Amino acid sequence: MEKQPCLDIDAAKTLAPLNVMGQAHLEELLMNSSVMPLFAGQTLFRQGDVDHQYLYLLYGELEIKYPDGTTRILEGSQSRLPIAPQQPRNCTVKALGDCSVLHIDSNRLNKLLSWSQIADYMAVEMAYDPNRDEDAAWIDTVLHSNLFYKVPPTNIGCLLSRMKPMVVDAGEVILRQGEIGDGCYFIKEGEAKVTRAEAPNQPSELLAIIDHGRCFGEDALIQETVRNATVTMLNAGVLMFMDKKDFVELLKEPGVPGLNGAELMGVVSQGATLIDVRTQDEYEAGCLEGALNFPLHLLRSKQRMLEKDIHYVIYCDSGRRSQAAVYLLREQGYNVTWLSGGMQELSAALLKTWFKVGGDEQSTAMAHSFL
Amino acid sequence: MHDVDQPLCNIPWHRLERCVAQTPCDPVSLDWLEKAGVQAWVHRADELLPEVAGNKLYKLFGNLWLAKAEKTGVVSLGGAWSNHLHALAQACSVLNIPVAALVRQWGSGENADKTATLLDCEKAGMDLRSISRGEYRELRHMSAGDVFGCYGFSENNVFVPEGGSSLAGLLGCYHWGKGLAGEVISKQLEDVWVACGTGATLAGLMCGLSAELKARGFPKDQLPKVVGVAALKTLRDGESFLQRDIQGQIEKLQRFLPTLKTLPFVDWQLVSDGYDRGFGQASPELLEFMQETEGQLRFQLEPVYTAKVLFALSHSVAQNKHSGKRILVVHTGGLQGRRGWPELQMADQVMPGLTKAGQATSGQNVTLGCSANKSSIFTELYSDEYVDVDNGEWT
Repeated sequence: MEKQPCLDIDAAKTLAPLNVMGQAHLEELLMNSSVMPLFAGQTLFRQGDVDHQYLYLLYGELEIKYPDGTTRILEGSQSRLPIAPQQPRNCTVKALGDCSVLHIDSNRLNKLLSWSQIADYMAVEMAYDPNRDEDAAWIDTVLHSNLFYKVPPTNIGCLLSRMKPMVVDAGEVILRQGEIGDGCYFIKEGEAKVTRAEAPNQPSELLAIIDHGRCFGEDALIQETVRNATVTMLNAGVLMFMDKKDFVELLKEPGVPGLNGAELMGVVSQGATLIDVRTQDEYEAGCLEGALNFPLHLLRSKQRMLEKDIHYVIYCDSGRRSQAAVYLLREQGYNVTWLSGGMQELSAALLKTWFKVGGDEQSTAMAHSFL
Repeated sequence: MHDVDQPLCNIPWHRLERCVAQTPCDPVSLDWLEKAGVQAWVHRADELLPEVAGNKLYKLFGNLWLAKAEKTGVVSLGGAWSNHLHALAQACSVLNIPVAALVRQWGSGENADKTATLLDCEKAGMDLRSISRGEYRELRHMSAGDVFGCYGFSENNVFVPEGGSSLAGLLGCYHWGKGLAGEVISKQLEDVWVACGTGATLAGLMCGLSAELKARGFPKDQLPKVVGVAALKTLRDGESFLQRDIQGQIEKLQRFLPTLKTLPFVDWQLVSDGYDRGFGQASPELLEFMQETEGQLRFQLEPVYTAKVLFALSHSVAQNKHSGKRILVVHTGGLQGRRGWPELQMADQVMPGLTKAGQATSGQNVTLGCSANKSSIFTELYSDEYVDVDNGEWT
């Protein structure tokens, strides 16, 4: 079945934090999400539910009921943030009129958001380093290829370092139709032709000429298959090779241990500084008391403001973006740890003392969901 | 605290698609069709569950599921021969849902409000309140909250508007259309003909068919056409309001299911049977045609909807428009309403062996009056087991 985005990209770009995602990542996310109608009277979720979803009200009117008896009305036209994202849900939400709700798996959202923001981070990183000019194209391909969306974002640094450069000559056959695949290639320099023969003794037909930045042989990474075409270098060049065994290794979640809520309070009282790596919209709606905002995608350009002798604790909503940030900052020699599970897993009591609500009406509605 | 794999708002709509697959599809042999070389079938939605027949099964599903899940009652409205109220009363009685209805006053004196339809509803446990015609007209434009307030119903009730044509009803018809895609493919249908009252059925069927055929990779140039036959006078001030209503319903569905905006839509058009009359009225020609046609069929029609479809089709066929075509006619049920036509009561008596329509069950019964096999279709449809909920539902 042919997949299509469940929502117009431009409409999705009015929602936070989807608004900071790159086109390719956002499209991939929307391909795997859904918009569901909710008719008047239907319950969206109840207090206590754990559904691991980000829900956005696109149209209609919802009633949010908190355990203390207070209620709040949320209108689709002014709703940019996810509906009461705390897990387990800390309120009950019901449709007052007919509504339309975007459902996004929270894990998928956080993964793709992290990928997208790390791609931005790396782009800035490349720009700072004139020696890496020639790497820009293939790295950009890697970062935007849906091949790697399944790789945990924290492993992105490993992903790049596992790519082995290969110097190749003109006329060299890189892979041959019918052979079993063992990995995939990115062209850093040079051009290659892709050819295929209908049958073993038939003359082969030219399918395409590819050059720097392009990827080939990627089917081998995701399935046990033989090469369906032959790739021959047209001139001398450099390829980056990703071994299938390494790729499988990278799919595993790295175990960087984080802090829990109580430990977080401990280190902060000893002088650690909190950094919120969510987007500005999310941060402004409400954040932990005293936290600075360094959105993940801007981290590379803002990291000059960090000091190497200060202990930083990074947090986000789910822990995924902060974990990626920890990896990137440790590479640069900073002293950082992260809040495991993110704000979503902080206890209600802790949030009550630590959570600072943003200014406007929309923020208050959003922040309310954390309290 | 409990982990929900499926959000609570997930109504198992796809079960409706299973109902479509279980619905008989009878080939029809009528002399005028054969003469024109037209091959036709009738989708017997009237036959699947005679007590909650035709489009009512689809239109009521969302709202009744909600009332059952929320353990509340249902409030609705309708006329004294309403197919909607009849089906609603039967369904609520089986599902144990308290149900009340505001009924447009009918007749006067001793016989006031004593139609066969309303007697069935009462027997099934429906709380009926007779409303004057003037009051009823206003009722149509009131919000659910106002209706509850005005007539002393609890706010917690589920309100089902006239004919069941709310978003929930529209979504039910959408899934009916998705289910019908299977028939379109297997029978290589070129036309699907269906009656239109409010247009919700047509809009839902059309969108559902479009979505499902696209999902199954059906070639764009072979998409069938949906033809709606107006069940009522469609012109008001020289403009077809039904045409506009249908367009409005399609846009409504697109607002709630944004992927519909990018679909290649199946074509649709609206035709009249050529004898424009008000809703619930039939010309002597139509009644004559209907009785003649029933003589050649193994099932019954009714004059408000499905007979009009065949009548309109016969005109269209007579103009030689459909030679060699493969056509599906959707039977939208409503046979219980035949009892409002004294002319047809007679005909029923001289045609023994036909399915008797609309014989209601008593309120105490927990199964539908139909065979055990059929009533299990209904209970499975509303079963609490969430195991079969398909998450890819709306994608």
